[in-house]
Amino acid sequence: MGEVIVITSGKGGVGKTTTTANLGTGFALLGKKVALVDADIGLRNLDVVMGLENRIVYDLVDVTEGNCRLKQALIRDKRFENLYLLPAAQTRDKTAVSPEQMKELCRDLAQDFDYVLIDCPAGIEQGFKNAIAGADRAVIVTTPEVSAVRDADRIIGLLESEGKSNPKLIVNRIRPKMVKKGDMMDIDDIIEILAVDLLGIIPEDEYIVISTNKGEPAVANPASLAGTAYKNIVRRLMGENVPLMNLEADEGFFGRFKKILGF
Amino acid sequence: MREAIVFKGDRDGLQLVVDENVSFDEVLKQLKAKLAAAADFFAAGAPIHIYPAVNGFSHSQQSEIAGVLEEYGLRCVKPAAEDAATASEAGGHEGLGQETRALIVNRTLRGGQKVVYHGSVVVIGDVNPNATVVAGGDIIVLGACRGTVHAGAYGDERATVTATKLMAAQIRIAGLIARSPDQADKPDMIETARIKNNTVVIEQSRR
Repeated sequence: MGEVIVITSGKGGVGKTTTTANLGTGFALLGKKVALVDADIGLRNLDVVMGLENRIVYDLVDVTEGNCRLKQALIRDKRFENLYLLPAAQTRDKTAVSPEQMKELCRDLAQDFDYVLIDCPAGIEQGFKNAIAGADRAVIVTTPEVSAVRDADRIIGLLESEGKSNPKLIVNRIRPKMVKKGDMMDIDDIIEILAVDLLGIIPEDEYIVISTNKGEPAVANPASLAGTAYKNIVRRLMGENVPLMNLEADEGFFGRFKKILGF
Repeated sequence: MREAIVFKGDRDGLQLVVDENVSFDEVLKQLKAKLAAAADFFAAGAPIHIYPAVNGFSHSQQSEIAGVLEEYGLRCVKPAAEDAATASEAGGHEGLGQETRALIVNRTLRGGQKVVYHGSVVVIGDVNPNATVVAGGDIIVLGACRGTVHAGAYGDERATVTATKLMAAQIRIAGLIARSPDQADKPDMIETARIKNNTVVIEQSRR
């Protein structure tokens, strides 16, 4: 029996879909069998970020309405053969699926896959309720902005009232230089308010834009800082103890000098 | 006959307590009977708190009850807080008529969650931004209080708000509202907000 993980945030545009794509690809890189589920019915994106848009024949609503079998709707990734995507329907809306149907779908997927990752839509309405219905655990994505943290807090409360406690937090798009200057919320401020376990931090990385447009998640590129951060998060989700990355990439001449000397 | 209504007196004045399981007609009947029997007992103009006891009834039924009370010279106190009776999605609203005077909330209240209670409320955890606590009595937060808190919601001006870190977006006490400064520092001691000279003041707790 695999594990069903929902990636959620409340606020839109903080990186849920990017995170789902990268974590899924990261699990696949480590040899796990993974299914990605796009629960954002009507505004699907995960297929684009994965570069699988042109392969869609059936979608999630076709499965729940019985127009096709689950296996027929699952699209195999173009690069990793143990990575699959269940795309969202584009011509329908969130009410096309019920939480009970999602629970059943997640149960079925968990039979065949090690990890089932659900990309949750923004908001707290039906789409959110559907996305979390079948999840065993939740990963919250936020950015170092007050508005995103407020929404994350609300989401954590709603998850708790659905009996899904202990969500894990990813802080996305951190800019170490701005944090250092005091212009950006730092991780401690965020954790103090949200009071949940930190799963990882993702630095702002231009390569994410490139990888999204190419349809190839950054985690597969060892040169990408964000990709490496995602890889670490995947290992933490698998139970490994991986220390947080040092994001002080630009440490200046003196810093590099100290590093060479072993300080 | 089952007692559908009870008058309780406390430091805030009279409080009407209604058994939720009894129909409106029965409540009205017993109310009239009780008032008739004790007409001389009530001082003219005495305030009586009928909220949140009557929140379960419709608007017209609520004003009917208020009308009956006013015939006997009692003054119905309007609820200071909107929606004062509905328990939050977080739950934690205890039935009226119990002797419990303080509600213990043993967790962090997150954005969008609301606790309303006719007595005092003690939160063991944080009150996060956009969370709301409304209490008829005092509010004590054993943690950081960043949300909106309303103590003495039924008009008690002696009510206080105390928190380990009092950083509330708004502190309301009875009918007064105080908002946080736009540039607030983190408090490094336990503080209490109370009404002094008709304004809400915050000072270091010493008790």
